[in-house]
Amino acid sequence: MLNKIKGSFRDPSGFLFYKKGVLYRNIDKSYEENYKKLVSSGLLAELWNKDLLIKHREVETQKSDFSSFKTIQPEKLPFISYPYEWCFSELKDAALLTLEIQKIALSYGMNLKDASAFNVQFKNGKPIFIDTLSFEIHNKNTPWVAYKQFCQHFLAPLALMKYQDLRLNILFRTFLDGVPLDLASSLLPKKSLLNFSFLTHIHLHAKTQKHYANKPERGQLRKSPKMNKDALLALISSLESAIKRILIKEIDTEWGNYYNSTNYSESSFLKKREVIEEFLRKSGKIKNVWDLGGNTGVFSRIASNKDIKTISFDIDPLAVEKNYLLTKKNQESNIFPLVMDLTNPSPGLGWAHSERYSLQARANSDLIMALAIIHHLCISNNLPFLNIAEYFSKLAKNLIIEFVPKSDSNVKRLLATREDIFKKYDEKHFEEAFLKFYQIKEKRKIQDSERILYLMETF
Amino acid sequence: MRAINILFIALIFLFSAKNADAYLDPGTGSFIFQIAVGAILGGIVAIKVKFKQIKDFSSSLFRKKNKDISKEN
Repeated sequence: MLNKIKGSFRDPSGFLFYKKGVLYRNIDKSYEENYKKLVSSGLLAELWNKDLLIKHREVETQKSDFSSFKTIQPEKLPFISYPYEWCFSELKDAALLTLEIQKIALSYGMNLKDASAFNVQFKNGKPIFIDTLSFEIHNKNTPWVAYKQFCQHFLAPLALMKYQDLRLNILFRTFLDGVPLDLASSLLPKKSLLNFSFLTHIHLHAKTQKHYANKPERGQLRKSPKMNKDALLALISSLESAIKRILIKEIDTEWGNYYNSTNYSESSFLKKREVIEEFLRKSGKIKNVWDLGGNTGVFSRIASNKDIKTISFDIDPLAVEKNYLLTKKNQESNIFPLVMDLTNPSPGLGWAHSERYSLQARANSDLIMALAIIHHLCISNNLPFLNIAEYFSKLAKNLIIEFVPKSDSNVKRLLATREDIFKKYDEKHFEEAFLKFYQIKEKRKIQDSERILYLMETF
Repeated sequence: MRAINILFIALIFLFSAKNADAYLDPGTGSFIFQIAVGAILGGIVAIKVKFKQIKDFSSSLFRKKNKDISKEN
């Protein structure tokens, strides 16, 4: 039975489907010429050699109701992430990857017809392009059809993150085809007009769009506009240098300096590490870990250093940024930092909520780590223990969770400015709630601290 | 910098062009804009390349001259 992926409907060149649990991509007959050129020109081989494009193998063409030229089986990625979950540098690296691919494609007489950030994923700590059908034969003297999309998907959100707020990547959740340039232009501060790239590719670009959108229809352009290759390459270079020059100043946020201001002594910090290592060992064969509230990834790395694919989620984009930069610096391939607000995790988005999957629908981990976040969920967000236990149990079979009691100074701080309505926030009620979904396999009090670590497993 | 400013003024005039044919499609503005920006950026690159060629040519002449002088010595 051929199970077409619901969100794979936009591209007339093909679609993705599952058969017996394996992901395939159908290539439509209309894409035949482009695919042949992609292979015969050597472009595919170069992109594969440089690890810029997802690899695939050609398989027996599946018979279906669709016009099919070929069926390919793309390499499977452990996790699909979305641009609204990326930190600044992840989006920036995805932008540079897209431009690098476009430059290489042009040198082979091909062109990227899409410049969607959703066509980029992360594999072993590096961005990789996943849409094999985005390449088309470049007709001489034609402009880059994806220029507008590139500005909306990359340049505009990066400029907004630089000038206004790192959290503005979340605009992607609403604008799945990137931030409209008129909106970006109105949100950016006046000083962005002094930057040649932003003035050109965002402000003036938006103005031109508006100018022509308001014009009455007069049919198609009399002559197709021409753009020679030198002009096209100059445009790509301009975008590339614009992206490279977008830098953010390091600022401290709530969590940025978290590990400098916890109430852990050095010995209890080390003890906590030891207990987590022990719990990971006792959890059996673990291939994937999700660290919820992973901050800059200090504890996520206990798992990733054991060759476990680890996603380190945090609500703070600066902490995730620091984590990602560290990942790059150390050339780590097992850790993947992502921005996520657990109290409002990524939902199903797009047409019929099925173009982009919810976080829960993408749950693929064997173990969840939830260290020092229970008090934030319960006290800052009024979440009952039972709701937390139920949600976590849907994400993974195993759980390492840290209970932070009311006597802890961080909890005291959270309660300092509000009425304590959390009469049942204690170890007994915590265990009662989690025992409804899990069995407690291990329990350790962390030395020199009030906190307790648990290893649990769902029934 | 002055050349860029002049090019920008030209660009702004371009925006106010009244008789351009267009689709209602909002992508049309992007398309036309890209061609204008591409032409300007391509022009800047061409000027830079020419300038470099002239610079290289004159410095090679200068080097040649120096060489000849040293030979004479």
